[in-house]
Amino acid sequence: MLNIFYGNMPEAIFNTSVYFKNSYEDSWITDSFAREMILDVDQSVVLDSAVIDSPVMGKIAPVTLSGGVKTLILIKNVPDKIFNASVCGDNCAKWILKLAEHSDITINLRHLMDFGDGCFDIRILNTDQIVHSMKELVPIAGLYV
Amino acid sequence: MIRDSIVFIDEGNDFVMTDEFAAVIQSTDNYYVIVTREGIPSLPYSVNEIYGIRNSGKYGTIKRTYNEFYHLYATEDFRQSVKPQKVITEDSNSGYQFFENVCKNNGEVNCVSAQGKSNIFAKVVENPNEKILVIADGAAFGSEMDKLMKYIQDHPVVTLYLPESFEWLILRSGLLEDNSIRELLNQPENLIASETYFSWERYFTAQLIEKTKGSYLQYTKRQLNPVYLQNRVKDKILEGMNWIEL
Repeated sequence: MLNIFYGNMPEAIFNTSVYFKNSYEDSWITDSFAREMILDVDQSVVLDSAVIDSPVMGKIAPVTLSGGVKTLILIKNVPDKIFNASVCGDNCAKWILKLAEHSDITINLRHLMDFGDGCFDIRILNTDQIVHSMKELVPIAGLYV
Repeated sequence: MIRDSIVFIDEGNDFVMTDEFAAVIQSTDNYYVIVTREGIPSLPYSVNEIYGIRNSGKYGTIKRTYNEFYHLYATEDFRQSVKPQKVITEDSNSGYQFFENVCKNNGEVNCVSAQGKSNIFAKVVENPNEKILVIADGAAFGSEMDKLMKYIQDHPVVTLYLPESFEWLILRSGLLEDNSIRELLNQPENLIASETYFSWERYFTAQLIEKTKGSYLQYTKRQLNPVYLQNRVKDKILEGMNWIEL
């Protein structure tokens, strides 16, 4: 289940790039799920734990990945922390939903991420309501961002 | 202190959300480019000044995201009028007093004030099946646009009308016989000193107050001069909104 707290959340990790830089592990980059996310979100290919081939910037280190994909990697690998996912664009939404298929995850959002036209299960922690579509989500979450 | 500069602030800096940041930049003469997905309610930025960054080849290009009329087609393409059941205004001062009078004369349209832009979303979602027209100051409404846009996608009964401000509507109406108003409206960016006016809404208010001072059209923000409710004057202001049936 995906749990989202909308709005200011002091206990959430706000600056995910700094957190990532200080804590990432090599295995987080080379795991198959991460490779898929990096390819899809950043159009980049993981060559090894320290080198990613980016079409825009050439050979880069993991810390130079986009803020969105770094946040996704953190969400997957640090489940006891709540991360600010508002550095993620809408292109990360499907990956957040996929991560939540396998386990309960909680994120903080300070904007209305678009989870698409499909059906999903999201618990809005502000009101403890479960919503299944953007049509249900927006009128509730919009009151908190 | 940075002066007369364009200041870029990348995402991940939460100080931009604070009232302290707004207070500090209010009296500066810089331009600020702030990268964020969040609305910033403490800053009065225009709906016209929100840009998306679209990737194109090796370098991104910046494309303006919002137009003055959201959910309304461009005037020349407009095919049907808007006939609301309820009007929600942003303010509770002269603008609300004007539209409340217009709606009362109509008899069928209810007009309410949201008492501030940050309350408009809550007022809109209260009645999901009602045909609602939101009238708010486009010059300072930027922070509210994203959630309203997303709501309107599934609730097309809601329409936004976002002129720069109510004072801008009066200036545009032609009621004031002042040649300088044309330049003021066409190219305000050439006239507005950013360290004096935090938003274009404040500039247009100041201009209207100054240009009507001592005349029968004397304007104050808090209490609407009754002359603006006379039919001839009212109709001139509403002329620019003739696709909205009020």
